[in-house]
Amino acid sequence: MLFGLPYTNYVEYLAFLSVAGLTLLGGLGTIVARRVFPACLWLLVCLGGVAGLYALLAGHLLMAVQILVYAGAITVLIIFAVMLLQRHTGRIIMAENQHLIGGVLAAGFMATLILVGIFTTRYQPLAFGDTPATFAGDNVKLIGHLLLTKYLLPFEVVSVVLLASMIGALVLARQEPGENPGAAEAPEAESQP
Amino acid sequence: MSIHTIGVIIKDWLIGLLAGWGVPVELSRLLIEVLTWAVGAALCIIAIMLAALVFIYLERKVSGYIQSRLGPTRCGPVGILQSFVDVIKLLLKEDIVPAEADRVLHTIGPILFLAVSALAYVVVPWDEGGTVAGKVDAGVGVLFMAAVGSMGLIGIVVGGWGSNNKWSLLGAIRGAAQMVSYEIPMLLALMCVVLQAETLSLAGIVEDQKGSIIAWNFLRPWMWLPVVLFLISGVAEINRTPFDIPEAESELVSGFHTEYTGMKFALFFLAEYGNLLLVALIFSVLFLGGWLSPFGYPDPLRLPGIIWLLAKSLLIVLIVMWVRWTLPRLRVDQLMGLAWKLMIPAGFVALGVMCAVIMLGWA
Amino acid sequence: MPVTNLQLFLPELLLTGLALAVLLLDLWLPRARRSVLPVLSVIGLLLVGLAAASLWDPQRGPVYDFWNSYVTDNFAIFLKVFFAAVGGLVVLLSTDFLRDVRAYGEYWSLLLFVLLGMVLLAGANDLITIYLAFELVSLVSYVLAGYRREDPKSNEAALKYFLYGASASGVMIYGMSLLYGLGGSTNLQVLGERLASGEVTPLGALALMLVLTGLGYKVAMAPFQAWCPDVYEGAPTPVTAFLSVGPKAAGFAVLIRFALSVFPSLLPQWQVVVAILATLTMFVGNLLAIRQQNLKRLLAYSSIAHAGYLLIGVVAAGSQAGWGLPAVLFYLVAYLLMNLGAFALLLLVARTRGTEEISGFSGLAQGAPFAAATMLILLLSLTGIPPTGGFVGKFYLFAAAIESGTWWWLALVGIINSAISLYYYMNIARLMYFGQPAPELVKRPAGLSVVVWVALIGTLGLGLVPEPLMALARQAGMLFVGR
Repeated sequence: MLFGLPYTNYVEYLAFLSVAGLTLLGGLGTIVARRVFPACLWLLVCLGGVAGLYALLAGHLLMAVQILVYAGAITVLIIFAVMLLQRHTGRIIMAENQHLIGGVLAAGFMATLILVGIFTTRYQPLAFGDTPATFAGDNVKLIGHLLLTKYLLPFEVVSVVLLASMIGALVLARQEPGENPGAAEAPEAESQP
Repeated sequence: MSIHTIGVIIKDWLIGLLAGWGVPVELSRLLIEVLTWAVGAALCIIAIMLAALVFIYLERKVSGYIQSRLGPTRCGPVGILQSFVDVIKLLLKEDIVPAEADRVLHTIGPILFLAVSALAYVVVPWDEGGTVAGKVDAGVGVLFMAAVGSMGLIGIVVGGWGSNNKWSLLGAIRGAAQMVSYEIPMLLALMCVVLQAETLSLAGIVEDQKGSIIAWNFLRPWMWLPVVLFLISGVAEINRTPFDIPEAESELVSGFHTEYTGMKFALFFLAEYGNLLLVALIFSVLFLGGWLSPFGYPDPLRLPGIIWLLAKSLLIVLIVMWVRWTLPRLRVDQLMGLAWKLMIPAGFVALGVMCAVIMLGWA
Repeated sequence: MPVTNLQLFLPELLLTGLALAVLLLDLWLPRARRSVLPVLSVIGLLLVGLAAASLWDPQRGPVYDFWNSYVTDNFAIFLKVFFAAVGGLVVLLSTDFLRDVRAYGEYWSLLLFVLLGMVLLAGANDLITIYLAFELVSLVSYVLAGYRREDPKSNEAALKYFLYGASASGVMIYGMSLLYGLGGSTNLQVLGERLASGEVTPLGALALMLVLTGLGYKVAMAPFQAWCPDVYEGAPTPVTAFLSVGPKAAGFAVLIRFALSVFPSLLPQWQVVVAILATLTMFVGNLLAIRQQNLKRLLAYSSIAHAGYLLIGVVAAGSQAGWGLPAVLFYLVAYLLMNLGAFALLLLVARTRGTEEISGFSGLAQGAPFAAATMLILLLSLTGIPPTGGFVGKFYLFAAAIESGTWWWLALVGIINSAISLYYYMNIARLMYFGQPAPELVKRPAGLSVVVWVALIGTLGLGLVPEPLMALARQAGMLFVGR
């Protein structure tokens, strides 16, 4: 005990503060970085910080999924797009912001609103009765069970959403045979009869 | 005696020692917890370094035998000191950063690559009772491993981009495309094992195979396809020939590490061998029973589990090396075609078969 | 309650199967026979509509399915039939336009997927289902807006729609996450009960505002309407027609269900906000429409204005659900008919004269008197002049506002705005009848003609005999009357 609190609490605070700080730093870096590529890396830091927060809340599955989906897939996809664009256009893509003051004002307004909302609300103790989350140890099975019972419909709708967006992405991106490929591609590459 | 029991003994001894100095037990437990983590993290890095030292020598010897050469012979008896000499050479090299390169990114690229590689070691179940720092895979070891593995290419991409060299960039782009593509069959193969063991924990997967060699996953017929898929995509994930398109010497000079020298190059090198060991370890855990002895549980030979795990992994490493020095490199389009047109459909077939097996109650 | 009765889910299942069947058929059918796809889609949508209609039971209360995340009530069924009708008409609108477009089969299946999303929205009773269905509608709408890939304007439309829509989704899901934190459930009823039991919290109000903002973007409510004209102008015309009715109606469905289920405790507060926004929306839409030369842009602004009229009904529904809801539902149907009819005529004219400007309609009365007369009736309906469906719809909306007591002044605002809209609608009529004569419409694709006929008959029918539909709309709105 130290100042009336168990030592583990201090470790938890320390861990929380560092992870939360990392998240904030990452978020700030993302919007402040002028070149797109470093901005992507900052985004990665931010998302990793969020994964850390999940880990602190004992949401280990969420943590792993967060890293897998956001850090491993989405950020990589963004970086991939940036690299390809750079190769095609041959210049560094800069994030330019002509509305700095307006943006800061809007963000500040939103932040104030949210902060005021958070701090003036008197919270009621809530029993999350219908989601019996066991915070100790293995909650993977619990989540799987919930996905196939209580959240069955959303779970199935997700598959439709993914299928539809996949078709949509293909429609926008694919090259029809005989279609003139984009100007950035080598023009002699496609000359089909 | 397993590693876990040794760890417990050391912990108890330390607590006793600290209690003797007047430190409250609660605090000392906490301190030891933190210490365990630090030691575990250090062990991960050390494991990678040792792996690199051994594998460099091994690779040269293996390639020598396959190509009817001798391999290194000069440094020490049968050239056994060759790796050490290599390390010293790399340490003494000048650190060159190209003038047009992004200094920061150029530097953090290899560090990230190695860090991510080391991170995945956290969840490897070395022995009965858990991982380097006790039981930390929290029931999601498989996912964590896959997640961290998928981040590996961030290091490649950052390094390739930071070098500001078109070969490096091309290598990085290829690396990203390749690793993203091969992650899918790898995850599908993983899912089969997860379905079999009904847990996402790597330790749990080993527990599920408890018994002698006949209880191991690779002897179950419905696991043969996942075994092949995992091995191939594992090799592809770590960018080894025949999938070393990102660093293809003949096309891209050295791909993403063209512009690296000295220690930074060594970091890439270290991480690549670290990844090799990691894939071998995970493969052993998933399909070869991890730390289990082939003669049954408990081990009649009373060897520590880690010996069995390492022995199995070494076997896998040798197979991967054998493949490397036997097969030629794939072309980029062949590589992507293999992933998307063959392995991913095969992965779904494997998953379907696995589900059918479970439905029929054979598992 | 877990899944009790999959029969109640039949329309959704049919629609999913239809979308997949069209996708696969496109793969297997030879190129020359692919024109069967729209026919199949229309027949399938008819079946979906029938399946939904067969569930109609005036006596039945809401039936909760899928562990309460989905509800089948008359409100949802009414909208499902409505969406099937939207889908059928838009398919007919699109047949001609799509003749020379790549990715032919995918268009139909994407359209059916959007419809599926809208149908799911009609019955969604859970924050997660609502969000996912919304994303389904939005994501596919972005693609449809950019379907003419070779046209920079279409690309711009898709990109703008995507950027605005993505931010709106982000805002909305943030609000939803706050709600989940406050109520501890994603179920609308449970949330409503828990939020109503305590005092009104600032965070709850903030969450409401955030969700309202997100929904406001989707229904093009001022001040979140900026994307609307550009997207409507750039998107292919049939898609524009669809966007102006379908997703908007779905947005209103969610808005109503959400506001009435989750926020009965915040009723007076959100009514004030929505009333102000409704006023703003009407004025912005109508005043900016006056200067438009491009008919698609004009219809975009007009659709903003109509969203404003519909919001009157939403506000009124807060006080007097028995008046407000039927009015909104009735107006949606009337708006569907008159708006799609106008778009069909725009397509006809644009096909012959090669322009989407208002000037394309110049002298239409000489060359094609029937088309001009139809357009005139549709324009009258859009303005709200008898004997048309638009008039009756507006009458019910304004009546609902007056009946609610507090919000009678919204009816006044609506009437003023109708007067403003008269100017730009009648400007088109003036051009048609007194403009330079132009050659007649040579091409009259079958699909478009069908839509024009349906729109004409429907608009006049609703204007002359509104009672049958209104009776149905009243039954659909019954569910919320108790609140």
